[in-house]
Amino acid sequence: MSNTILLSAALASCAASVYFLKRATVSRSGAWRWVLAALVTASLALFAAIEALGTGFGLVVAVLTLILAGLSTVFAGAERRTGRKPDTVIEPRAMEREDRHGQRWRGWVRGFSALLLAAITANALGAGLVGIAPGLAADRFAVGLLSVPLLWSGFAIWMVSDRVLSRPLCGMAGTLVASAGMIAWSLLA
Amino acid sequence: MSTIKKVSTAKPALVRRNSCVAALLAGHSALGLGFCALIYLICLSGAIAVFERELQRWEQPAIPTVTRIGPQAIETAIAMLRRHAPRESAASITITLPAPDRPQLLVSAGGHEGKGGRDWYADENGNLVAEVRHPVASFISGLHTDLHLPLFLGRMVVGISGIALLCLIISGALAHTRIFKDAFRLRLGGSHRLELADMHNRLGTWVLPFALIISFTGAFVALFFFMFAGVAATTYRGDMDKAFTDLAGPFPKHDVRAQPLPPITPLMERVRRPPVAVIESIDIQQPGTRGQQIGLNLRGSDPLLGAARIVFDGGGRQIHSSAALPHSIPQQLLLATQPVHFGWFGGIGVKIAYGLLGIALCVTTSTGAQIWLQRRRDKGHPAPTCERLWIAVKWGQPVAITLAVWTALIGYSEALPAVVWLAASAATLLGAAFLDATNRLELWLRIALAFALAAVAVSHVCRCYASQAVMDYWLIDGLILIGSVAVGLTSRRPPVFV
Repeated sequence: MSNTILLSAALASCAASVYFLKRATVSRSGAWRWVLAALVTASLALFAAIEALGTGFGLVVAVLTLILAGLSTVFAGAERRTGRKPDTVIEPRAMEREDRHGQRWRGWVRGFSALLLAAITANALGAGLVGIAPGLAADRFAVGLLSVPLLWSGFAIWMVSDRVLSRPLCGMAGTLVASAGMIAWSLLA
Repeated sequence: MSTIKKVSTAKPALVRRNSCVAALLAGHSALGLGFCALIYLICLSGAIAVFERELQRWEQPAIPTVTRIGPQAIETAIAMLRRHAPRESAASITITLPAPDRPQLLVSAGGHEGKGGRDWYADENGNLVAEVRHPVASFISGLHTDLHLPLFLGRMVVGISGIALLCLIISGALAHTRIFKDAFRLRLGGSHRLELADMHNRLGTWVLPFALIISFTGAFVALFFFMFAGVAATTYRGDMDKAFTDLAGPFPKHDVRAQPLPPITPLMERVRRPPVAVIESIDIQQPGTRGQQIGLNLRGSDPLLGAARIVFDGGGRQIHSSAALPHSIPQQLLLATQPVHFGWFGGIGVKIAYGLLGIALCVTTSTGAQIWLQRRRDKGHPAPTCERLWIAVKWGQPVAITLAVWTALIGYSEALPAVVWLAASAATLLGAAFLDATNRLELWLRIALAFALAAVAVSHVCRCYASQAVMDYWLIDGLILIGSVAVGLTSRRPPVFV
């Protein structure tokens, strides 16, 4: 019975979250945002508290419900325009530095660095940090493994987005050296 | 004076912000263009692969439904398996017990579900009744996990695509300055580029939490062994065995001297006491030797965070139990990555949500590629070959996958679906690259998809009728036929690039 009540409250909270998000997008007042944050937190907490689901499963169900409720609202309120208008012509801007003749190699350097150098740096940093971090080995191991994909994507975004090519290259090289130091320290200690 | 001061400080900040957003968008475009085809294929196959267990039952309907097993079922199944497959069962035996989403007793030797071993379905008394034959499910899950590429190459490509998707999600969210303001704004019709941009941004915004979780866990699962060595080397000072033991329990010692297998049912009774909820599967490593080990995999009340493993040695002594010492939060997160990614933890409701959101990711990827192509057109320098290639990916891949599924239903070779998929993919891509027919290509591929889907549904019905199997899965055939009609009807819509 308590599961049913909690589930009903959680679903109502999800629906209210989506409603208040819609209000928050059109309102100039910041108050709606606080209501929204409270409702989203309540939805997550209520789903996590349902004993029949369990904490982990409850949180996933909360996220899925919020997403599906939001998408349903978006499609239900879609603005339908009749007829097809021609697209506006985009004025070509000055060419980006890397599109210019003789500068294409920069794009390839960015691509390979985001793929290889970022992967090596993320692995080295993950390995180095867990080597010197305090705590149980099994916990450090889990945190280290989980952090590598995030570090890799962070370095890759930096590599492909920074206008100055040398900045992420130097940053990653420096991180690699520091990580090598941390790995050596942890293995020799 | 003060006004001048305000303007002079505000302007550089705005310029810096715009420049930062432009740089992020440039990176987002470059990464998206590089990986859009792979991400689309992996998301599409993933959206189907989430229903793997339903597909298995759909393609092999004439197998007994088992909800409870008899008292001696496990011992009987093991004995029969060792007689039927002595060579494969010498390495390992796995028994998957009936679950609500798979009411069958599955017995595997030398691997699990087609990965280098043999598998049988057993009845409630443990008698092996049918060898497992899942070419459709194996093809779809193989396409999602390693693109049917050899060795570790496929997993690396899939893992790197997962990292690329993670980068695209983060950079897209950071570059979208009106992410909250426009959260509900969807304009359909009117300007085509605006419609594409709205669809891409709205789906991207709302699918963001799911996409973050799926891309992160997918990249993690695919690249696990690539990341494992470095982190384990520093955490455990190079002791890899200790790292594996902490993660998955002890590994069996290699000792091939003969020793009878202990009875499994009493071991199951021992671990069934509260608070343990359900035994999901049993694995026996090196059965019949002194090095043998019996592992029981348990599921607690929380299907995501409550997993546990208890290991017994060849004499029936308990040597490891992760249930006795509960996992910490980082360890629980680590163990939850796989079930969270595959969506096999919450029944059909969660699977349907995963499938729908997987399709939403495909649409987001597709609209992203189309925005880039449309922008090029509107700038006055279109890329017709790229446009045709993208159509060949967007509509050609569903056609290739459907044809592969159809050949799996009518043929008997396990390798045939992958060959057909490869041939169909090559044909559509080469045709798109060399035939100058951008507008007609989309129409042809849509019609081909409609016919291929209808052929799959009809072939399955005929196969079930021929084998006199119970038509439990008419709903899936019906959905495929509805999909076929929907694709056929929408093929009359004007093409994307006009």
